[in-house]
Amino acid sequence: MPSFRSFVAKSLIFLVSFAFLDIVLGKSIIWMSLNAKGGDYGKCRYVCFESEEQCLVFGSSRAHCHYNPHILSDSLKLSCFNCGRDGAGIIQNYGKIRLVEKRRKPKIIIYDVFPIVDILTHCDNHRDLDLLRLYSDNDEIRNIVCQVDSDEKFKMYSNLYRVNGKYHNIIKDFILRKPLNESNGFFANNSKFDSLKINKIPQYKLEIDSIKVSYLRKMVAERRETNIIFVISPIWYGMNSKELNPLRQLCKENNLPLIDFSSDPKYLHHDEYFYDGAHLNAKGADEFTKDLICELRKKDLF
Amino acid sequence: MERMKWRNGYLLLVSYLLYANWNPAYALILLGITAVTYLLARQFEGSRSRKKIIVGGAFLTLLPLLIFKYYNFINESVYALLSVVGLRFQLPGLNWAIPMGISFFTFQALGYLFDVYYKRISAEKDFLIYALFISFFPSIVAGPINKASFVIPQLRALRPYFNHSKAVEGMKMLLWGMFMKVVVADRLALYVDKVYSSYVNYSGVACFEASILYSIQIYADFAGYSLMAIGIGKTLGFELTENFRRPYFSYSVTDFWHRWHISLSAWLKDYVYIPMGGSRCSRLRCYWNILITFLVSGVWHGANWTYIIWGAIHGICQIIEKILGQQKCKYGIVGKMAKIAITFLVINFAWIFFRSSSIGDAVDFIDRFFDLTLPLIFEPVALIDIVFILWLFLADLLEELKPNHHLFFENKYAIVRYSSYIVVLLMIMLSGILSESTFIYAVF
Repeated sequence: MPSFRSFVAKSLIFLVSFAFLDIVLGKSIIWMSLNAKGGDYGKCRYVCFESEEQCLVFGSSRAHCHYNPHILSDSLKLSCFNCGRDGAGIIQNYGKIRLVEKRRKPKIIIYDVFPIVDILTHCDNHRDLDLLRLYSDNDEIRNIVCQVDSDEKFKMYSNLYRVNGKYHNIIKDFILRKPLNESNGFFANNSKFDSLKINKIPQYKLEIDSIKVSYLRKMVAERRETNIIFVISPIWYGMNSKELNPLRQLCKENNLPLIDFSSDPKYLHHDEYFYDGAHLNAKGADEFTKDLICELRKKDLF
Repeated sequence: MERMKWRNGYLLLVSYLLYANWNPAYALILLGITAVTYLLARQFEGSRSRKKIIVGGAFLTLLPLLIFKYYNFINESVYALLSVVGLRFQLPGLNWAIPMGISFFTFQALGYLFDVYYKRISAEKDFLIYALFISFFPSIVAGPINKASFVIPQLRALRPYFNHSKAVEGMKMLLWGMFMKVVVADRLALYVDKVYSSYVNYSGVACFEASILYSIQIYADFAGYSLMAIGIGKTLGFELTENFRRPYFSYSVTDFWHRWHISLSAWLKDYVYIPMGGSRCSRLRCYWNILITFLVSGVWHGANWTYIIWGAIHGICQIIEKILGQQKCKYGIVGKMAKIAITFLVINFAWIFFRSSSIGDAVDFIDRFFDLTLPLIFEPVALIDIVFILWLFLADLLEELKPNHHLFFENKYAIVRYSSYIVVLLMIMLSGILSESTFIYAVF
């Protein structure tokens, strides 16, 4: 009859084998993410480790499809790249900016603020750690991850954990090298307005996330020669201005510009510029980018 | 025996520490229910007022459950009723968290009390053993609801320190249960929650899709957790009550309740349905008993009218099946498959009420299925999630065809077994939702 000792021995062999697999497979997938040339992970790699553009746009999916870098480049006479990424909040973007600034200092960072991912508690901060875990061999990134959740220090001993939920996309991006349907990082959405998506306007708890706000403040405090411009891009159903109070306070304290299009009547409830309640379509993005440039000139930022 | 006492004591301490880790004050409620039912069960011996004791005991045992879980619901419902006649009276609401697993351990303790009352078992004299039975940590949060006659003899028995085959079985169950929970259920929850929370923003097809995925989610969540609990129990050398037996292969709603949450349906049968007369009465009375039993089931699940409607749907379906003689399956393979599909759709329909936060939401949600003005747009589900659903379906199908024999976990070749453990563990690490998630049934 197999004994307790044999059970423990077999279990240990199994666990050691799995730990070996964790290291080999996990590190391989992490390596793929750092060397992907296509897809979302290729773009993240480019932004963090290769980009040389003078003007970078950061933010969530709203940044991704709101800012046309070609229009910005032509008008500002600066090379421009749209680093916007779906679901990316301030914590993730801060991490990416720190990786960029390790190599060089961009002239301008346009940060598209969306309160639910940058200011409020609505979105779980663990979402932002998804990408940062891949880069946590960098001490600064590792500190960010551990600051958001101290348990991550232990969880990240597992390399498989670090690629949890995204391994298939990383492998796909590495092998297929298929570029995203973008131009300089910008996604021009040509879809028609989906009226279903505005049947119910999302209601969020107006609770300020102190961790998110602290990263906004850090980003400002560490900016050095880089100009940071905070922008609230248009939104079909408007925005509760109270959501932006921490940001207004931050800009006031640091004498930073804040350009707010959230209640601009040109865009509010205008279906022709949007494809859903929170995202501009290609026409709206071009219009908005031009309007943004006018505002930048009016405020003498260029 | 002295060593057994120490071992049971250690398990009891661990169980209470784990429970108290969540909320120390609520561990006192657990202790209170344990003490009350222990003492009252011992009072039955030689007592002439057994009926008074059982009525009082049942009330005392259910009291914490009524207060924590149903007070606000009763308060609001009475207020709504009184408002209809112009009376506006409402007691202050309670803002207390519900003690975790209270529905489970309350029913477990109550079941013990009834068993002693009906003289099915004798009252347990050893408080340590009884307390461990009620608080046993693998099953306290979300079941299974164990019978005293099944578990207490195991606690009393001289058990070996280690049983190799049970430990291996237990670890396999833990692994597969974890796969069901964190890979299948929690991944589907991301999609289901998105649609249910703002269903008006989605097409009827997407809503129907979400309802199907919720049916799979709740099965994988609850069955996965139960399997983990049974697995941990088995690793420690205990057999706990089987709780799920591939419920979506049921050919009738009656059959569904022989496969879904088996411990609860056994409890309801033994302590609600049969004492009311069961099926040993007139037909109409039997139908009434079925309906009441399932209304109780609905109420047990939650303090909301949606759960009561859900229970009523199940009760009514079983009554219809009884009338039409459709509880069993007398058809060939094609007929059986058709019955399985129809039963699944009926169960799926009932789950909509279970998942919705109000009856109005449930009705609106269902209404969207038939709204032909809405576009026929599916919300995309990741291919990997479809693969996991198919994997779970195939595993259940193979087990349905050959019970208690997992094709890979119980393969005669060690290389196949160990490879399958590694693949499942890999999927848990790579695709499982490893951040904090809760079990759906933990809120009961």
